[in-house]
Amino acid sequence: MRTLLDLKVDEKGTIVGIDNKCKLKQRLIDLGIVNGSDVICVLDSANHNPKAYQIKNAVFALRSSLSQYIVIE
Amino acid sequence: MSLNKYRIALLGNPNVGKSTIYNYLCKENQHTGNWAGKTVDSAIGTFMYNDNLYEVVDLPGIYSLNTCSDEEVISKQYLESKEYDLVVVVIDAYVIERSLLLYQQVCDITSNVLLVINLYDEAIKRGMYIDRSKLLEYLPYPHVIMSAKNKGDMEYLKSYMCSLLPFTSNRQIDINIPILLKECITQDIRKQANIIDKVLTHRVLGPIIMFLTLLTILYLTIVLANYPSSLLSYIFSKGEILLISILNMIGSSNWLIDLIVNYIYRILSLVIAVMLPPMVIFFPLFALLEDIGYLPRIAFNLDYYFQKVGASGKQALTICMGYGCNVVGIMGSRIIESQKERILAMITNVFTPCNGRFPTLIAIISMFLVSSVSSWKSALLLAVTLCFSLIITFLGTEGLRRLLKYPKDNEYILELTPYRTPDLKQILKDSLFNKTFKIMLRAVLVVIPTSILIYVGEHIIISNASILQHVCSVLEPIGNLMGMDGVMLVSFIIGMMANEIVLPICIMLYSSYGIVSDYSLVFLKELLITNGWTLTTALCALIFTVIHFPCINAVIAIYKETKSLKYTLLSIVYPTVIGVVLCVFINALMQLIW
Ligand SMILES: Nc1nc2c(ncn2[C@@H]2O[C@H](COP(=O)(O)OP(=O)(O)O)[C@@H](O)[C@H]2O)c(=O)[nH]1
Ligand SMILES: [Mg+2]
Repeated sequence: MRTLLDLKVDEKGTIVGIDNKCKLKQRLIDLGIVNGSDVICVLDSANHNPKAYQIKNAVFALRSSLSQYIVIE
Repeated sequence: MSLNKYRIALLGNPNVGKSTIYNYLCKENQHTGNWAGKTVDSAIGTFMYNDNLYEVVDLPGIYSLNTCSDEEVISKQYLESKEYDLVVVVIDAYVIERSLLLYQQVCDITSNVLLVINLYDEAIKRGMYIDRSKLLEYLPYPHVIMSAKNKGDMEYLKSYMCSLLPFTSNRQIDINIPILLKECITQDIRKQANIIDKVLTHRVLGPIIMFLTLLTILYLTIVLANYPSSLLSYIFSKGEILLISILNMIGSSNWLIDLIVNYIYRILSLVIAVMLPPMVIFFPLFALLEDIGYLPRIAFNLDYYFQKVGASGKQALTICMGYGCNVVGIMGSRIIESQKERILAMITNVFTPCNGRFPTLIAIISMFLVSSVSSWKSALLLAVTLCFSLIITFLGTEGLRRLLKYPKDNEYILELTPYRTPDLKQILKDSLFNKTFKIMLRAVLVVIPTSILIYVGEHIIISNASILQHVCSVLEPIGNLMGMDGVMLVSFIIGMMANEIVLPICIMLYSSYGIVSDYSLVFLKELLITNGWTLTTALCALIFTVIHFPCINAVIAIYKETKSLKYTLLSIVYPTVIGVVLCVFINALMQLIW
């Protein structure tokens, strides 16, 4: 199972699920981060945490603790 | 003549142009001006159109009505109050999909909605196109596609908006987002984060650029503040002589002359001549950074360290607000979702030297820590001081988190909003005129009662010494231990009224009598040295300026935000203890090596 964590800069994927353990799940959905959305990892930081992802024309910085819950294909 | 009054609310994601629209509509009549750029509380303004009066409320940015941070709750509650005639939902055309979700949520609460699809010029640049006639078909409700940068668009928005009122239709708004998007929108998918982002968040270049940016801003602040500063100090020193002769001429009694000249006039002159110029210059420079959209990148770069201390990455943003004013930083902490992380951010915000403390830092550094008058060196040392304050913020956050036994709660989302071309005119207007006026007014309001208080304190004599002298001598041993003296501690305490009066009061207490020939730093330095200031004194004063109890407004803000006496008290005690301990330590160290 691959998650957002596994994406390197410039790699693409499609979101297929968000783990229920994620406390901010509803927030993600409100931001349009839902199943079926395409993602591209666009920025990385010195410690690979956080990384920034482009989802539906917007760019979000996510910490590993959150992106580990987002399953991609 | 029939004058109707209507109320319009502006609602939408952060950074979509709500404030731009608000500023355009209510050019002159605004009640609340926030720290430039960021709307932390709702602002209300009015405008007239066709003999009707319109009141506009600029609400804080909101992403969703489902899951709210405390900042967003304000907007949500306002929406539910229904105390408006029209809600204008402003959205960024480029992120239309998720914005329509918000639009739908708003429509569930009220049907008096106007959708403003803003930033269309930017969207076009990035290869997006909206088919207007198709959109009319799939979105048969009031909407405008526009760019807030375009005057014609804005005028159209104004007339269209006003023509909608009083709102007549009661239709339930019902749209099918996926179909609407498919039918009306064409765009080429592009990668958004560009080379600029790659450089600004680069592991090596990123931090270097952050530091250089900071340095440049501080340098410009110091250099540009010098001119008005020396001019003002010249005028004020001449004014003192003039004031004395006028007061003598109209036959004022000696005590009155003493009060007016040596207390009120002198502190006010120092505040305006020495403190005000850097404050006024720093504002627009910083607002520019904020408006361009650099701050989220700073948050991105620093996030790893915030994770390490168990803080929210958005604390980087509240720290930035704190450079303007700690009250704004504290209120701005509402953007942090987790209650615990929010409390950490609020209490530690005082470690960020606010605009009122900058001039003190600049003055101390230029007087004692750089040998020749060199603005670059001063700027460099000031930048180092700010880095020091940042480190203290990290350590202070970690310490506080352990003290309060909060777990690390790490989930967090921050949108890296696209860069925007800043609106220079608006920034200058906001920061130079509105801010200058406000700071001046506040200075006068604080300085007059404070000066009278000090005057009274100095003139009531109990057993051979004034009350103030008694207080100073009680604090003297603690002051000495901290590398300073009683007078300075008294100044810091009185400075709770407003940080920009700390140094002026200290100087006034040292120089009670005789005409001040000059309010320039050279003269002030001599005065301070005569009163026993050394390099150690300056260093400790510098540290204590960064790390001490918050000003009264910040304390009130923390109480209002937390509604907790415990946290309010902690916000005073925690930084004070750290500041005292650090000063004592540095003083002892300096004694050893000197
Ligand atoms: N190019 C362009 N820039 C805009 C437009 N509307 C707003 N801006 C800019 O976007 C930035 C954010 O606007 P602001 O009004 O502060 O957004 P708010 O957070 O919604 O209040 C500012 O720099 C504006 O100058 C627009 O239609 N086109
Ligand atoms: Mg705003």
